[in-house]
Order: sequence, then structure tokens, then C-alpha cells
Amino acid sequence: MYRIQALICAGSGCISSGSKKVEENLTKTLVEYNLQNEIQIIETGCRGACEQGPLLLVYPEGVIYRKLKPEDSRIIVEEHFLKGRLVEQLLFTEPGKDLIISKLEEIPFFKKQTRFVLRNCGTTDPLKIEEYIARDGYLALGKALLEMTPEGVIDEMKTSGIRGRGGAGFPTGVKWEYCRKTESNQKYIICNADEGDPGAFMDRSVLEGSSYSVVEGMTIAAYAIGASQGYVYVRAEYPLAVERLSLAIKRAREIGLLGKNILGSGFNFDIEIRIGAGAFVCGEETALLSSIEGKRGEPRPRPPYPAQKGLWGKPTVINNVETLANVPLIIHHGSSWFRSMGTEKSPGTKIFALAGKINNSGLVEVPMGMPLKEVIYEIGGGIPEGKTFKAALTGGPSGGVIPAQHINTPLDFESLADLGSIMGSGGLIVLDNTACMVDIAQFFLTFTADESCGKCPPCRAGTKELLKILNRITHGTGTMEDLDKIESLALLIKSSSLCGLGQTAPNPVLSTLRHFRHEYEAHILDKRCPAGVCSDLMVSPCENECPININVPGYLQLVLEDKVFDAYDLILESNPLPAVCGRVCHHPCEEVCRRAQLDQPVAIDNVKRYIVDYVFSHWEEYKKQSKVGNLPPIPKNNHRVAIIGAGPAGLTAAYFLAKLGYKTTIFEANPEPGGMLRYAIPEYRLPKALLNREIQNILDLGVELKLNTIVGEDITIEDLKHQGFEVIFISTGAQKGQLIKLTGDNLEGVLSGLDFLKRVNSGEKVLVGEKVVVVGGGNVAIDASRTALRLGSKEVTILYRREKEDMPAEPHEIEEAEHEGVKFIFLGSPSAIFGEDSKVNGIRYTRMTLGEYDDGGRRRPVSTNEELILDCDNVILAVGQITETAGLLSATGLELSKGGFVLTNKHTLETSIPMIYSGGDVVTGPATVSGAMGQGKRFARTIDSYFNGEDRLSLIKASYDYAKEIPPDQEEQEREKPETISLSRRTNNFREVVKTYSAEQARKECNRCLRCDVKEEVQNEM
Amino acid sequence: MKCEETLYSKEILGLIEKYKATGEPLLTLLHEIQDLHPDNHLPATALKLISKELKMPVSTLYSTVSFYSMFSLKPRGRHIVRVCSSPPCKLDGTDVVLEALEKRLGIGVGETTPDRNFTLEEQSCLGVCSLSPVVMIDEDVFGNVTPQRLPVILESYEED
Repeated sequence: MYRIQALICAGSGCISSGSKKVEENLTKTLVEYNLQNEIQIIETGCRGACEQGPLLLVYPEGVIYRKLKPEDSRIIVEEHFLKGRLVEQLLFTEPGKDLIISKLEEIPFFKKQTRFVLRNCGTTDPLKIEEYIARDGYLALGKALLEMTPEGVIDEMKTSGIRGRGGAGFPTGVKWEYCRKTESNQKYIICNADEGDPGAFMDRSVLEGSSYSVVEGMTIAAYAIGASQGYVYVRAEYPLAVERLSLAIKRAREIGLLGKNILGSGFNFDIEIRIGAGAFVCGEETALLSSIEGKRGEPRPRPPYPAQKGLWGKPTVINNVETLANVPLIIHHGSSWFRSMGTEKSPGTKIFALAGKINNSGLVEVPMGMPLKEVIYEIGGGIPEGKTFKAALTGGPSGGVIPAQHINTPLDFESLADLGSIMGSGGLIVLDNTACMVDIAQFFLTFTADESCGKCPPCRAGTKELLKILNRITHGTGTMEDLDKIESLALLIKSSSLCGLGQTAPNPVLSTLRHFRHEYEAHILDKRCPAGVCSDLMVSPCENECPININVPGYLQLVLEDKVFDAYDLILESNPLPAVCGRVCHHPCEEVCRRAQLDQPVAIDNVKRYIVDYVFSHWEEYKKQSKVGNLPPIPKNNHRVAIIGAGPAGLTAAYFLAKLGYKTTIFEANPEPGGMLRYAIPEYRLPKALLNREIQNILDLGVELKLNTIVGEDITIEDLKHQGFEVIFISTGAQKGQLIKLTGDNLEGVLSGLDFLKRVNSGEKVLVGEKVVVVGGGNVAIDASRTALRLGSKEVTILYRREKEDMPAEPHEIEEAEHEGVKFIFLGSPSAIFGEDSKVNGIRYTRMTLGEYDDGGRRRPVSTNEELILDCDNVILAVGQITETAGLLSATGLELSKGGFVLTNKHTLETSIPMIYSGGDVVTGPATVSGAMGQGKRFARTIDSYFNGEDRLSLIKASYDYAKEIPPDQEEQEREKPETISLSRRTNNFREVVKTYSAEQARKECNRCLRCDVKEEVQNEM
Repeated sequence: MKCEETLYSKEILGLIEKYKATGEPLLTLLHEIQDLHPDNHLPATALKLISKELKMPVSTLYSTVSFYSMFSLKPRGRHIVRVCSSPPCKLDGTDVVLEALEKRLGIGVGETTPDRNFTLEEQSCLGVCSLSPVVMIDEDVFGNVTPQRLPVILESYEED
């Protein structure tokens, strides 16, 4: 008897992560402490959580250690084995949380699983048949051989309703019955272990961790169909599986569980292993037969089916590894037990291989029909790095995608088929928002085209042809007609290919086209890869992600070479408001910066701000040298364009149109231009002087600005047309603060966040009380709270119904707010505002807790019914913005969405009325500054293409001289932090908080750029 | 040279005899003969010998051998470096690893280093998807490979 049993995982995954070394050290250390007779080390098969390997499970406590290094062995022996203390730093933690979990059964990844097929994987020594038998192994074979007739076994299988786990889902019992009924002196049972599906590895794991269950399953199958010989066809890529399976067969033979007269029943059966040689198509059953026969692994037409005419012309049943491993369970526990799990048409459990962008990857066994959402979030722990779930790929190169909007789909044969995908062997590759769906389709098709055996033309030539079209699309030369061609060609290949490979090869293309048609269209119409994958369509990931496509690596390099004026010019080619953007852009460029994989993204925005501030302080000198300013001007034309709304979208549109020679007029309802930039963003983040300066630069190009003019009231669209405006662009924003229905929201002292900011920013004296509660979690909430502090409030509290990490506000703004003393109450939802003498004196809120995951992968806040009260003098509601639909929008008769936003063509921004276009927040809903600017720029391009055939943006670009070399390998170095002014200098004023980089800081930061643009250019030349 | 060739033929004949005696399958025989050759491939001499002994046309043998990606008719290195190029690996940076390997070994996919030590191949799924990107050298699997880890990984396979 041992005091402790320590189970070390010896699956392929853990071995490759070094479990053998860990085991070696453990054994050595045990000897050192003379514990070898007290503590037993056991090698087991795969436990499924390969990413966390090497894993060590310690009994009797059931404590599991993860990610072990050889040197950790000592501390485990000294602390846990000797002193009984847990080694905390080696235990599991929940992804993204600090919560430590010691017990295996409490870890969400394992807790939510139903492990039957995998029950021996990771719990027993896979080489020892005794351990398999001790855990009810071979009871099923005994029952079948001694108590059941072959027909009885088949009936039990048929009643269980089990369907093949290898892909097509054909009822196993029915297959066996066909074979049983075919007369022949020789029959075969074959286990298909040619697991070629990219992303699926359950067969490998079952063979490595529980090969006896496959051997037992095959023996029962052989008895049922009347076979005396079996073969396991396994991939040569799985050497460990081959080794363990060979041993299992040998041991079974030694103790009479294979061979002649098994268990004295008179039944004879033996198994041999056949090893493949690297051909995906051999997973197709008829190709597999050819391969076992020693020929090219080419498929043959069916019928005749293998059950009638299979290996060497004899009746043969071919079953997948997981199917066969289920057989002993069904026979032992009975078909009704099996049917108690899963769904009516897909009973039992299924093993899925979770891979790709998921926190807990690995093998999971769950009842069929479990919703995808549960697998992804509850078991898989969600998507890493704060990214969002985009789609799951099932069925590998024969399957398709389940997009995010179908995340509640139950994982069973029918539901997946309804979505145009298949179960396949259970590969589940999770994609986040960085995956390009066209690229994924192209990848799978490259694979199948490559693996096509070449026997039948639809598959051989058709997949190649389909691939050519996809290549065109990812290289920016596709057309909309190509999409129709894809569909017709795909159907042809599906209907006329000889075997499953060709019949399913177009599935990934058809499925991505069905669910992500907009991405195909973006590649074709906008020449843009939304995920930033297709390198031919972009300069670099940062440029691609920037809504106005600034050449970021270019200007960073120019700064590094001390050519700051050129850097400014390069920015100006894409961005008329760099001083604004350098301060308040949400910098999506930094989100995709590849430097983040090394340490932190390049602080692109801070460098941009440095450039502008430098140029503005050397303006006269710059004017003389400006490359963009000294380009030959484009001749003026007579087309007149009216822009309604002088926010970022309108200003950007005006800038580009003016540069391209159009007569442009902006109509603005407010007394000053700038829209939300002026009225929503506080002075301490964006000084008005800078905004005024950049707007003036735009007006200097010849843009006319009419202030205090409300289109729809002071002047109508018809008037504009009469005045000779040919095109109208509506960019009026979403400037109305959204209200939530709360009792007491009409009390004096209740304000809308946006109105509050607007009044302060317009210079109005706004009085706030001592205690202010701001409801909301976005930038407006943060701006309002910091503004209230500056106006003299003593205590400002933000009340938000979710958690801090869910706040949509900019993280560094939240940080600054905390630093300035703003208090936060998370998981609090307001229920009523109350007061005295019609004046606010408090707010009641409900304490929330996190419930189920919503479809977006965030836990939904649910009420705890605990009510709390907060005293306050003001309540500022900052819970969203909407458009003003009365007036212009309704008078014009534009088609609007349910939420009141203007509906446009995404690529051209045309509205439902000819020659009226629209962009910015009024279309997208409240979004970002650069997003609105991107729409303004898009409108300018659309108009220029309309009048000129194609847009002439290239004419307003100059050429710059800077190094295009990949920098040498870089050491880890964190980004430069800009200085901020001290707290004491922030009170009672609106002085800008964040300072501009010094020249040295800017250059240091530029030096961190990995120059993704250079690599792309080299590729383009090839 | 002559002597070595005779020795090699003898060893092949030995394997073929075993094959005839036990009814070993053809693919297994081909794997074993390929492993026997120091250059990790199936040379024409070997195919001719098999053809003669098994009374099987060389064309049939050739058709089988050329079908499977793991058999090579060209001489290869002592160690085969296989880079998994299936989607989970691709999502996690196979391209970067492959590029680094090409740079380090100075060869492209399908090529062999001049010292005949390494051949670089792309490989469909190796089934260790949780540890993507994955590289397999001979029969050893390496997970979570980064360009930085490559020197250490390759070291033990490098000739002194």
C-alpha cells in the first residue's frame, strides 16, 4: 500500500512539454528522501488539458498541479509529500482571475464534463491491462460472448442509437447488421485511426490513454458481425499511439482476451496494426481499404459498400476509434443508459477537441447537444487576451463555421447540419476577431486541393479552380461575380465528386460565404481585410486597423530619422485632425500592434501627438518645407457638396473634398464647429485652442462654414438642391443623451451626461453639488465625473452595473479618474432616484451579481435583490446616446434603423435617397472619433469616384525617404509613459492632464516598432 | 562503395524475407526499408530489389510510394523536421516558426541541409493542437514552439 499515488500525465502533449523529465526528477527526489515505498508514481494517458501540461494528479486528495518544470519536483516532494502542504504556485487558477483551485473536480474545465469514453485517460496506467479490468474493463466482452448472441449485440447497438463518431454519423448498429447479414467465409473489422482532421486529436488520446477499450470494442464488434480478423489503421504521425496500442494487443493476447477461444466461448479473433504513410484521403473508408491492401490510397465508388465488399473483397466494418471505445460502455451499461445522455437523434457523449483561440484548450467529453456557448465559456474559459469570439470551426476541412450569433447552437449532428456545418470527428477550432474568414476558407481549400488524390476530375480540378478565385479575393483582385462563381462551382464539386473528400471540400467556403458574406465583400469592394490578415491588402496591421488608414510605421520611422515635418505630412495625407487624434483617438492601431506579443504595443498615439506639437511649435519653418503643402494643387471643379454637421466626420469629408477641388460647404447647427470634439470632450483632454487650429487649417483649404444653421429648420434639403448642391452628406452625430426610466428622473439635479458636458464645454457656469453620482461606464461617464470634480464636487461616485473590466471607457481614462479620487461602485444598478422638495438627495441601487454568460461572452449581471442607498446632490445619467430623429432625419424621409440611425450602403454610404449620403455616429450609433473620420473619408472617395471614375487620393500624396529595413531582434522594453501633471495642479481648472513626449521619449518609442510594413513589401515583390 | 551497396541490398533482402514469412503489409515494409537508408529515402535500387523479389512491377511500386507524403524518392537528411501547418497551429504562428526554421537551417520546405542532417517538411495535423504551434523532429514532438526556442530544440539533433 502506498500513502500517496501521484499520477503523471504521459500523453503526447505532456511528454512534449517535458513530463518525462519531471517524472525522472520526482523519482530521484523520492529516493533521496527514502519515500519510494510510500509514494507511487504512475504514468497515465492524456487528461485532456494539454495546454496546462505537464500535469500531476495527487491522490488521495485529488489535487492537481500544472505546468510543471523539472525543478518543481523537489518542492512538491518536500512540501506536499513530506509536509502535506499544497504548493500554491503550481495549482490551477481561473483564466484572468486570481482564484486558485486545487481539486481536480472543482476546476471548471473538468467539472462540466461527462467523461465516459475518456474515463481511463489520465486515471490509469494505459499499459496495464489489470488496471483496465479493475475499472470494469472486459465485463462487456464477457457479457457479449457468454450471455448474448451476435444478433443480440447488434440489437443493443441499434437500440442505443449510437452514430459513427468519425464524421458522417451513420448508425453503427445498422452498419454492423448489413455486414452480419452478408454471407462470407471471411469478414473483417477495421478501426479507423487515421485521424487526419486538422485540429482533432481525440483518437490519438484514446489510443494513448485507453487503448484496451478500443481493443475490447473491436472484439465485441468482431463477435457481432462474425469477423475473425481486425485491423487498426493508424497514422504514422502518432508513434506513441502505435506503441501503446501494440502493447495492448500483445497483453490482451497473452492473457487470452485475443486469439483463439476467447474466454472459453469458442470465438477466435485477433488484431493487427497497419500504419499509414501520410495521406489525408486514407481516412475515407474505401481509400483506407486500398491503403491496407498496400496500394495507393485512392477511394472507390460506393456501392458496393464495405459492409458487403470491403477489404480484399470481403465484408468489412470500418468504425472510428471513439465509436469503438463506446461499444464496451453500451454493452456493459445497456442502451437505455446510453440514451439517457445526449439528444433523441444524437444520443451519448461526444469528445471535442477544443483548440485555437480559447483559454482552456484540450479534449472535452460532454453530452451531445450541449450548447456551444457552454463549451466555449464554461469549460473553455472564454477567449484569451480580452478578444471576442468570432466563430467556431467544426468538422475541419469538410465542415464549416458556427458564427457568434449562433453560439447557442446545441452540438449535435442535426443542429450543426442545419447551419451548413458538420460534426466531423469533433474538432472545434475557436476563432477570435483576428481571424479572416476568407483566409480560413482558402487555407482549408489549399489543404483539400493538396490532399485530393487526383482520381476524379471534379475534386482534382474543381478545388484548384475554386482556390484560384479565393486567391484573387484575398489579393484584392476579386469581383462580385466571383462570389456567384464560387457557389456554382462548389455545388458542382459537391455533387459530382467520387468520395467524401471532394463532396465536402467546398463546405468551408460555402459556410464562410453564408455566414460572413460581408467579409468577402469587404475584400472585393473595399480592398480591405477587416481582420488584418491578408497582407496584400494592407501596409501593416496598424494601418489596416486605422479607420483612416494612416501609414503608422512610415511616420514612426521618419521620427526616428529626425524628419518630423515629413512625419506630419505623411499623417496629413490620411488625417486632417492629428492633434485631436493624438489626444483622444481610441487607437485601434495599438490593439493590433504585433509588438504586444513581445511586451506592449507601441504607443502610436503619443508619438503622433509629439509630431503635431513639434510641428505646431515650428510652424513657419514647417510651412516652407512641407511636402504635402507644396504638391501641385488639383484644379478646382464646379461640383458643390453640402455637409451637414461639423463634427469629425463632416470635417474630414470637407478636408478631402476641398483638396480634390470640390466646392464644399459645411452647415453647423451650433455656434462653433467641432461637434462632439468641442461639446463632449473636456478641455483637460483636448484643449479647444488645438481643435480650433486644426479646424482653421481645414477651412483654409477653401471650405465654407455656415454656423448656427439648422438644416431642416433654417434651410431645407430642397433649398440646398436649389442652391446648386449636387451631393449632400449628413453627419449630424448621435448627440442626444439616452434616458433610462427611473422614478425620480425628473427631480432637480438629475442631468444627462452629455448635456452636462455640453454646457460646461460651452463655457456655461454649471453648479454641481458636493456629492455627485454618475451612472454609466463609458467615456461620457468618466468625462462627466472628472469634470464634476473640477467644478468643485467633493465626492464623485460612478455607479456601473457590471465589473470594471467590462467598462467601455478607455482604460487610461478610468485610471486617471481613480487617481483623481473618483469612487467606483461596480455591480450596482440604479433602481430609483429620490429627493426632497423636488431636489435630489439620494439614489437607490440594487447590488448585482454575475450570472450566466450572455451571447457576447460576458456574464450577465443579475439582481441580488439587495438594495442600497447613496446620498447625493446630483445624479448624472451617462448611459448612452441616440440620434435626434425629429427634424432633419424624419423630414428628409430617410430610411432609418429601429434605433433611429440612418441606413446606408456600408461601402458607399449612400442612403435610401439618391445623392444623399450619410456617415459618422448618425449611421453607426455612438462610436469613435477616428471611426467617424473614416466615414468622412470614405464619403469623399465615393464622391470622387462618382465624378471621376476612380478616386484621386493618390494625387494628394507625396513621397518620403525613409529606411525600409526590418530592425534587429529586440530586447523586451516597455513603452514610454508620458508624464502627467500633478494632482494639485488639476483642481478647479481644466488644464491638460497628459503631457507630450520629449523628443528623446518619442524616438525611444519609435524604435520599438517592429516594422511590419517592411515584411509586407518584400512579400509584395515576390 | 560497392561493398556498402551489397551490404545495403542484403539488409533489404532480409526485410523482404521477413515480409514474405509473416505477411507484413507493403507500407510497413516500405517504412522499414526507408528507415534503413542513411539518407532516409527509398532509392531506385531498393525499389528494383523489392520489385524483383515480390514480383511486382516497379511502376506499381512507384505509384504507391509516390502517393504517400512520408515516402521520399529523393535523399533526405538524417532528421526530418516536420512543421505542423494545420489551422490551430497556423492561428498561433506556424508561419513565424517556419520562417525562423528556414532562416536557421538555410533551406526551404522540402529541402535538405548540405550536411545532410536536416530535411524540412510541412506536415498536416500532428494532433497536439493544445500546444500549437507544433514541430516534430523524427518521432519527438515539441509544442508551443517559438523562434527563440528553436536553437535549444535543434541542438540535440545537430552533429558534433
